[in-house]
Amino acid sequence: MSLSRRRFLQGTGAGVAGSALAGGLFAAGARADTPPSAQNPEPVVFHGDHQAGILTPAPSAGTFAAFDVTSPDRAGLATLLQTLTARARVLVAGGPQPDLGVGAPPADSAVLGPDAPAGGLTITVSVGSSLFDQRYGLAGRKPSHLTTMPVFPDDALEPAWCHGDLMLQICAATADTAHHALRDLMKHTRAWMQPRYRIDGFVPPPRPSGAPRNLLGFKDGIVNPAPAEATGVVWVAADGKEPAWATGGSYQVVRLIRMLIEFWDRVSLTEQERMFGRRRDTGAPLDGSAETDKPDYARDPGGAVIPLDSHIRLANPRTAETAGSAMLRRPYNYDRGFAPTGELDSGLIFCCYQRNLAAQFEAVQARLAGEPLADYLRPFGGGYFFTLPGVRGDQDWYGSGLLR
Amino acid sequence: MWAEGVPNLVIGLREGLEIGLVVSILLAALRKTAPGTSANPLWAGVLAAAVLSLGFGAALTFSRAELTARAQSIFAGVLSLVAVVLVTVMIFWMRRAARALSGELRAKIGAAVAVGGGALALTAFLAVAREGLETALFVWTTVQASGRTWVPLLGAAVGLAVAFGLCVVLYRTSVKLDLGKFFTRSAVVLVVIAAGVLSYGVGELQSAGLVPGHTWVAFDLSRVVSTDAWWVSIITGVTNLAPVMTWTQVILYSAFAVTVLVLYFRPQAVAAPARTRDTPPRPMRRPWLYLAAAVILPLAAVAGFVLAAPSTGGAQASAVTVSAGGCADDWAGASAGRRTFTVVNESAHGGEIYLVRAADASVVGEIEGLGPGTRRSISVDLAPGTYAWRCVVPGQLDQRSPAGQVTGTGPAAVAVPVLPISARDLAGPMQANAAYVLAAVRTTAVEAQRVRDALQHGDLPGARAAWLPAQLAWERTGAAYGAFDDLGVAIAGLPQGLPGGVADPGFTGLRRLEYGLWHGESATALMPVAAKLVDDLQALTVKLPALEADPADLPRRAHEILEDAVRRHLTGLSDQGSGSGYAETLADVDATTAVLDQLRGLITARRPDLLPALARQAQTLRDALNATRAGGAWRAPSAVPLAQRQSVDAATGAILESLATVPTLLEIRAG
Repeated sequence: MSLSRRRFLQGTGAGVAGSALAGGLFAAGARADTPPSAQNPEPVVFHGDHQAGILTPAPSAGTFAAFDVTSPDRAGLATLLQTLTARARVLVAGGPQPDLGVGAPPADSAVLGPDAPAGGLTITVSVGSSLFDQRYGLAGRKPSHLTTMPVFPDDALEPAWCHGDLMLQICAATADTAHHALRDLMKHTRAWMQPRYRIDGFVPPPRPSGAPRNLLGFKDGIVNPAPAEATGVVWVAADGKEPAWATGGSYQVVRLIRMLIEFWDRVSLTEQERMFGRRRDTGAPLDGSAETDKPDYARDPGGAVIPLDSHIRLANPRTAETAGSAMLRRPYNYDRGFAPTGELDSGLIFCCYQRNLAAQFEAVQARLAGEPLADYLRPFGGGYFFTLPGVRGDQDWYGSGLLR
Repeated sequence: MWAEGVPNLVIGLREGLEIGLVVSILLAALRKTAPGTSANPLWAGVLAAAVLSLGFGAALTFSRAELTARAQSIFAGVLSLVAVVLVTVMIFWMRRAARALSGELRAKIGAAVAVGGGALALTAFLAVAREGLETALFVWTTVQASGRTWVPLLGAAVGLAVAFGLCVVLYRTSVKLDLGKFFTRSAVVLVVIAAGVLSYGVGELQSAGLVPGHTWVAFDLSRVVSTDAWWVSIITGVTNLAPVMTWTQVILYSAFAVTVLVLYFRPQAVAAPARTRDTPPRPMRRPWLYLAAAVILPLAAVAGFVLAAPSTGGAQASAVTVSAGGCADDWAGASAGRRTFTVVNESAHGGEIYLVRAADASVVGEIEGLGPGTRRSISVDLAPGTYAWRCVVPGQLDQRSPAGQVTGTGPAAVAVPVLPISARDLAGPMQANAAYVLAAVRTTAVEAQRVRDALQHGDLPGARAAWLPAQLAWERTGAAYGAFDDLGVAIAGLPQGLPGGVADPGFTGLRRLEYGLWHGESATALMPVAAKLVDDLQALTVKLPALEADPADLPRRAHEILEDAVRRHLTGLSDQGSGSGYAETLADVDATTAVLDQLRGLITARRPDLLPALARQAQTLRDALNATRAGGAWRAPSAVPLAQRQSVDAATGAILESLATVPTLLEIRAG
């Protein structure tokens, strides 16, 4: 059998064309398929010593919903926390809901479609100091630092936007996933808890790189403890001062801060940067060139380059005495319509976690009091909460240690 | 839907002709080489091959039913690709070898006759089985691609029957059919069909995630055109193209069709058989390869998928068919757990389809209003037991399928089967409700007269005091969501939907009185409003007994009264100044309790736990509402402290979640 040159070339050409077509289709198809990380991330691990949603990198959608417990007794509170656990376990895992049969309305809202993807959902449950009043006999079990959030000098708090018995922090890759979770949790718990206030936030993508920007246009959250250090910063340990049940929990501070962005936009760039202590474009400290550069305050004791009252210098003076005040920040921007006087109602849902409110958040807050940046901010709500330890297994539930 | 039979008709015709041709040649060869030899072994071989092919088709069908949804996709996808390869090779092989076929078979028969009857049967078996298995595989994949069962199968059967008929005619008579032309032309159709099967198979592999690009959608016409339109089903039926296709599918479809057709019609390739007409046939090794591949590959795939993907876990899909004369005759039971059924209505009528427990006909799944020629899926968590399908075409027929067993252990089903209810079952409760409503309207009329009398005496404080009892009496009628038509609006309509708001002449009745009484209007000005209200109420007492009520409304009332209270009273929407939203909600609890009482027997028979739970929740709501009073006086919700408001909202929300089951539980399901 002879193989002509012509047929050989034809065959080779066909083979190459076929391979190219198949390869191209494979590559293009793979490229078109949504990567599992962006739109549809894997389910977050639900069980553990600590709740998810703290060290978990903040996904783009975040809902902060405060509730008051309406249960008349402690048994109802336990039922509430057990129901929240059961629902959260299902929601975080994703997947279709059980069939309730023809004798009941549908089990699920189908906002996420019939097979609700997990969407990177985390549900973080925290309790406010009001839960430890006389209602449920928990007064003796309160975490040692948990108080009602005090009024700080630059605050203008609105009672309807403050405190609460419970704080649900619901974060997910997309806003509809957070909505779906909140809706489901409320549907199953109407008898035992009722809403107090709620605010939805977002984490923008890097613009163009590095930490996300807040609505003042500056990069925010540049200095946050790395995961390895964070465990020492956020988790309450068994140290004899805190009740035993609180081990593995964390103190959560939520501050709802409106930004007076119209005023801010009328301020010169130099003044803006001197108030922050960082460059607006790169996020670099005023004495550095990159976002991750460490400011060298020792070389600038008088504040000639980075003013002494700039935000970053007050918040984190980088001295040995102030090293202990580091906390884990997990803020979300909010943007929700107009203020009555015609400005945009936009700002920051400041959220941070720590093991000691006094030594961390409050110490920083005391240093920041009266900072020039405060003129552009109006904190109007939020509260102090204690994030319950993690749900450790199928039989465990939020706050089981607290109520047992 | 008939269009979906076309691909299989072509396949049946073509393969049938090939089989018939082979058998004809064998028979003729037998007559010629060994006259007088019995043809029975030959027919036995043909029969064995037919049985093998049918068995192969059955094996494919039943092994697929045992797979999870994803494994089914992979299974169908791989087999589609195998079928495409086989059909393509077959087309080219026929083109090249058709003319040599008869000589070759003749030689084989000669050899077989020499050996004996067994060899004769084996030769026939091998020659026919190759075509038969190929037919079974290709028919099976096009059935999968179309998603229906009997229409494509009918198409294949008709095609085979016509082909065999043709063969008999050809064999017995001297009619000549240009087989070369037939095979060439049918090859074009087969290439188009094979391209469709290729695209279907790739689509299945994409949805299983084995081939990337599932979300790389080229077009999605499913929202633009109805997949049930006749012209859509002709296009999808004949070409196997789907309303939703990915770019990968589209490109492969076109590339395959174009490449294969171009290769097929290459000039030298067409000319070649003509020139080689008289040359001796080339040795035919391919059929063995062919046969081995056709049998081993799919069976290996079946075995692989059955082993690799056990049927536990994921939802399994199966189809159930409703036809003019039959109700789910294809229902044969399932294994327990989450099951998805696609119900196909091939009858000419729309109907209600229920999956029922065989013992007491209680409903575990339903598809309401399944239109003629449409399909819909339901997912049901099935507990082990005996189940049947019930097909109800209102006013026409009510059929039950044979019972099927659900066996095995699935995850515990939470759904409670619900005993169906007919409109007749609701007659008693409806009567009780009518009597209750009439009494409540009469009470309202009496209370409204008190308001009118006070106004007549110029006694505004007295009128204000008399207004609330009248309003509460009206609430107790349970007049939620548009009951009593226009009279209901005249008696208690709100100003919000009126062009002129509170100043609109259409704003009348109790709310208009409330507005006037709490906005400093004079007794004289309000007198005509009160007089009209009394007249309207009396007109309603006369009209009520004649009002036709829909029995389906009563179970809905059970939750709508309090839903309406949330919407109007708790939000303050209905408040015209009296601030009595909580008092009105309390009266709505009374009205709800009355409806539940009327439905007591029906509810208890289905959910014995529900009414006691609802009674507790109603009491909690009453307590929460009463707790908002200050010194015995009602306060507007906005004037009540947050904690007390939250208690009311909690109790209302809790009872509404429970009440929501009543309408679905008591939905009329018996046609």
